[in-house]
Amino acid sequence: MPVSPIAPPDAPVGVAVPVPERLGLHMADGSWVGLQPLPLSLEAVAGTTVARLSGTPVAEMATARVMRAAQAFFELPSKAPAPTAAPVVASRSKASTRALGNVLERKTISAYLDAETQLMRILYKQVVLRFKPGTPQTLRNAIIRDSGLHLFAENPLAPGQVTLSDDDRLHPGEALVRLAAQMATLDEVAFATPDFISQYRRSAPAASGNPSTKQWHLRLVGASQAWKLGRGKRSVVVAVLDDGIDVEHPELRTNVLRHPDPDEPRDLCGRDFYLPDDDADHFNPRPKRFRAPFEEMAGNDIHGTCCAGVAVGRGPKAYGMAPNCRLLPVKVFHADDLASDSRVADAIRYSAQFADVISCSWGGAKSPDIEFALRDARAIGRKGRGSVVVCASGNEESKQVNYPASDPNAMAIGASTDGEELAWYSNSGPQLCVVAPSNGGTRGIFTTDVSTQGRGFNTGTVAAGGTDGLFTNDFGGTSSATPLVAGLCALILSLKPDMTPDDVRGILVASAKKIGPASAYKANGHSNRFGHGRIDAAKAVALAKAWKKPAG
Amino acid sequence: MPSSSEQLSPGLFVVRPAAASAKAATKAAADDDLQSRLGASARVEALSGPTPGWLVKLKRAPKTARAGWNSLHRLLGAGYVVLPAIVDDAGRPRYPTGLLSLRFGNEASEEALHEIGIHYGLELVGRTKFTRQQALFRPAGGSDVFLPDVSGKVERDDKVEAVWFDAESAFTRT
Repeated sequence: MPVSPIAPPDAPVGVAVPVPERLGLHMADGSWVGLQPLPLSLEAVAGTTVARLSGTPVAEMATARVMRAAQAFFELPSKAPAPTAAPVVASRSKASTRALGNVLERKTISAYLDAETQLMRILYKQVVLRFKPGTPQTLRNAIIRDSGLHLFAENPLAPGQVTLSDDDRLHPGEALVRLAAQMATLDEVAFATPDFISQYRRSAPAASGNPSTKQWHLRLVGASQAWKLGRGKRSVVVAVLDDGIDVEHPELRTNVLRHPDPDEPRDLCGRDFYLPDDDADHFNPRPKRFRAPFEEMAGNDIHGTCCAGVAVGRGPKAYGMAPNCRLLPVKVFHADDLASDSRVADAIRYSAQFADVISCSWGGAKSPDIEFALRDARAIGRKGRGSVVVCASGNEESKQVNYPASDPNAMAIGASTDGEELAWYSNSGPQLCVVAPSNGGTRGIFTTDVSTQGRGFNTGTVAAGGTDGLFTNDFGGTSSATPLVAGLCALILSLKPDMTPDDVRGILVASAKKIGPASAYKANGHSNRFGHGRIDAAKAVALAKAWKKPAG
Repeated sequence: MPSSSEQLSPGLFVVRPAAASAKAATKAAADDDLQSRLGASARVEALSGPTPGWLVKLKRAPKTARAGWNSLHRLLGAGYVVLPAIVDDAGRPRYPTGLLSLRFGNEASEEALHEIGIHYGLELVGRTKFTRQQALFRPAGGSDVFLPDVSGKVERDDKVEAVWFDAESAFTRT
């Protein structure tokens, strides 16, 4: 593919100015939206302009579209020939690229990250300002004059709203942001904001269908009924800590939380805590370790992508339990290599800062570091309400629940089958909270699989889930049961964000369906094998809907 | 010190290259070097974790972890740090990295970290990234230090909520 660099990725076109004090926008409702300066470079590749931040793409736009914006804002004549036939498209791309290059050489661009939406905003020389009704014209003129800006246009659709232009470049770069913020504080001004060229994210709602028969596990727990009360809020985030997540997967990528950490511009879509913070790949949570045979878990990073799909897959082929909630991908393992307890603990604490639910489909040796991290997640997560942590009970057919599922700050999740029995492998114990459908009966779990060709549980056969290799139909274990419960927790928190982890646990327990022999359950309703029973999503969200925060 | 439910293994040790050592310049050379020093007294296996190291299983397990440490330290010298493996109550091993994690009741100031380092002969490696209550230390005495001795002393310090060996371990994707 031909590459026509306008600016090398390591030579940012944009201006990154140190910020001595907070930078942002005063909104009309009195709120404040922070802006973080970004070192930005643009690179055109075959008709697409990629905005890069520190070498990593943050946005893609059709070059022609960028050109139109550039022409409009920089008053450039169009040099691009009209598209007539396919061969011309290539030359148009090159022409657009060259013309855009000229723009960027001649002008400086300041780009910012909007702290609220995490979208990119590129600054131009204009400010949009609205005067409050009744402000005398003389006062309006004085305010404009004092700003050093020129009146560019009056908005015919919004009385009192004007566009001001910094033609003399008195306020370059972020000085214009500060000027707008200052003007917004005037008594006569309703709002004032730089006129940004902004990145917009199409909301791309999750597919609205119901799970197919392949996703029997969702049908069994009443997902369609539960989704009548909502498929989860975008603001609710599930962190999946595992061996990496395919953030480009077509049924995961639009749910991936972008720029989770506002203080770390390199953190675009999660992290890899197996690697040190100073490793170039630390900010890349994708699967990395593969070796033949590629469909086997041993030696391959193919587990996390399946778990993520069970929790928050968007559908329409592989729905997660909370298809509208977002995903924070956190890589902690490189296949079967030993992992550092302190890095796993770091990953839990990191997740607690940005995620409402933390899903851990793994177990290991007891660790004080992980124990403290779970305690911290309970204390600091969700602004002090506590992150909900769900952990797999384990697949060893043991009478002991794995660690960290056995930790009091986590919920231990076991596995049941399509026959409403306990999965033969599912560990049991007094800490077990609930079970959720997984393999072990006649059917496995249909979910997302690593999309790289020839990698994943399904390397591309119909029998394994489809020739495109994007899905597998044989995932399972308590590894699958756990993100299913994580997704249900996300649905519950979407309805009642004030709930604590104990409240969420209470809903899961109260709504669980008793499966298996009645004799398995003690008088208090708990069974060491089934916990409080198999999750019932429909009943759980109905209970959550009716839930009221206790007084005081 | 390992938590009360954990034990130091008397016959299972982790050997890691001492930071200043040139012995571990290449893994293959280090493998050969270790094997030749230990001879038939132990089985050596490379560890797969992010920190370079080997698992050394003594063929004749000594009575205590300290005795095993003494004999391995004598054989390997200053080029390697010898650390007793830890086994939890379910028998799962953890492999120390050679660092100690200290957790404080409240956020620890830079001065407090510095003071505690001096007092116990520890070098501050760094604060734990996402909590101000924890920091990682390394024994300043290098390979001559039996790590449980240091952690035992730190554990008795009122300012310290908990101390444990930083470790790597096997996690099972379920």
